[in-house]
Amino acid sequence: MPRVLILLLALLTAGTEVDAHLASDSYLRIEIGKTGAVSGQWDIALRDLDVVVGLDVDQDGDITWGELRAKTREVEAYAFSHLAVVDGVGSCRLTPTSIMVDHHAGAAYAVLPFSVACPGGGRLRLRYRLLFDIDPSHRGLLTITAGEQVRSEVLMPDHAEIPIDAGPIRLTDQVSQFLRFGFDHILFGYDHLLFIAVLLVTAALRRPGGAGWVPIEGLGRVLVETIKTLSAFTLAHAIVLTPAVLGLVNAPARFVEPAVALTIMLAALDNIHPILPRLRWQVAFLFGLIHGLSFASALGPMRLPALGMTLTLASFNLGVEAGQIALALLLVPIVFVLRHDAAYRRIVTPAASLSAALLAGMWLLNRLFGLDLLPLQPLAVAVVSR
Amino acid sequence: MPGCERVIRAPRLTAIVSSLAVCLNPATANAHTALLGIGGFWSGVAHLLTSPDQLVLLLGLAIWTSFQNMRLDARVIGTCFLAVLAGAWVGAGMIARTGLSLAPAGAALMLAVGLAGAMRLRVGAVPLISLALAAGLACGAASVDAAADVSVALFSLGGSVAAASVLSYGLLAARRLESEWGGVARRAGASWIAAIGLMMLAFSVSGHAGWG
Repeated sequence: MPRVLILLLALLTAGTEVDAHLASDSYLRIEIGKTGAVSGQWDIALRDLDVVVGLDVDQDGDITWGELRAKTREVEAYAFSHLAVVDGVGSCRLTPTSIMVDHHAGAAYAVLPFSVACPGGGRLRLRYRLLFDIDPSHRGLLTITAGEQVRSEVLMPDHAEIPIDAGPIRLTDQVSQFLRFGFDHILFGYDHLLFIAVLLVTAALRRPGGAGWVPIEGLGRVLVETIKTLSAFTLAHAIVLTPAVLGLVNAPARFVEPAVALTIMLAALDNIHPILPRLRWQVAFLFGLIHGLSFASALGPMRLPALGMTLTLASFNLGVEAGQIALALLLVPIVFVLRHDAAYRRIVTPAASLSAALLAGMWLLNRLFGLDLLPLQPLAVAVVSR
Repeated sequence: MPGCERVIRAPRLTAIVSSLAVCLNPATANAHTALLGIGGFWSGVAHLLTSPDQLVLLLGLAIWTSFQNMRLDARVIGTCFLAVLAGAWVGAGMIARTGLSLAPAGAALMLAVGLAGAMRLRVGAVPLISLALAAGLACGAASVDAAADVSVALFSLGGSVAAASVLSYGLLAARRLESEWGGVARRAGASWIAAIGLMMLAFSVSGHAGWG
């Protein structure tokens, strides 16, 4: 009977959305030449363009090169109607050249190189409005280069217009932008959140000698264990983030993203039957290294300047940490109150872990082979678009 | 000097009444626009945590549960979690189409859990779980209006986790007040919740309150 209940609960609570990364971003690079000539390259996710332009003509779930080529004019028209460069006289003309495709963080992006021709002189300003009207959580990750000088900014609805120069930005602006970007990244990175949740679901339990779960006595001890687990995860991804963003460690997203899904699966299965080291902080640290490589894939294409890199990465890490703490503040009191309940330890914990393992398994297959095994997806979409 | 006293008191009374009137002035429906841009799950969490009526109902339920056997805590939390999840789907499927108002039901539930807590009513599992089920369904169904443009699945999951979390915080706090005076404090808190519920019920019947 308990097994049937576990299976039923697992099926009921299995996620209805397989998309682990719901965050929408684009990478915009502006280059100012020695003569003052301005050119740029804009990488926009194909999944975003599909929503606004409709790239997947045959509706088979895959966007082919042919489908993108056929819609090039529409893509360029849409994109460049949401980006403007102005000088003291008026709007500059943005002329796209040949469209290409690249991959960032395991997702395909349309690459739109363009040149900028301005009517007069004066300081140039950039106005960015891509997708803000339909998705306020969209972020434009901007890098401006002028010779040796590089400046990075995160463009968002309330920070969408900036001067085009490669001079350093204010320290407080840099900290707040990357803090917010890190926070957003964990808020929308449901795979990272699920991993933390899988670790926290047993935060108030221990498994002496590898036997069944028993409750930990005292809120203080539970909090200490939780802090140890979260700190180990943060430390691990902070260690990996710097060399990965600098390009010293280069792990392709096609390996990292499935590995992230695998870490969730293993951690979830370990909740059901012990297969990993007994100490949770060790698991968090070990798998945190892989999650750190995934975080780096979001920042990597920005080509962050070496100057101020420490501050940028520290701000990003703090933002990620804030997101983890938000989740812990939600979950820890629940697991603490429920820890003495036998049904929680014997049914709810295995069911929730099995659901997480199933979902992570779907992400794994999706990331390895492009398989979409989620029959409930159309239902969820239908309800959302009601 | 009685005259002077009157002169001094009158402006203070006016100021207090004016302040209360300002504080009690109902907020407009733009309270949840800030949820845009944080995704379905966190919108569900934020919606519940920024809905005082739902928070008060859950707090009342936690106080009443704290007077019962501790073994019922898990069942109340589990029931409420599943009920909020179900309530959001019921709300999305039925209430959104029919335009049914949940204001009287929500206020009546608040009044019921408040009175039960104030009276330190000790009951068995069935009445307690039934009220937790009703409270969860009401919270879930009332939240669904805020789920526009986000996934209902993730929104309801966020709301469920937040509701379970609020109940857990409430129970953790209430169970720490086991002394005689702690019991009095809990009952006083519950009676306030009953009073708020009664006021909201009166307002909703006369068409002056919103729920959700």
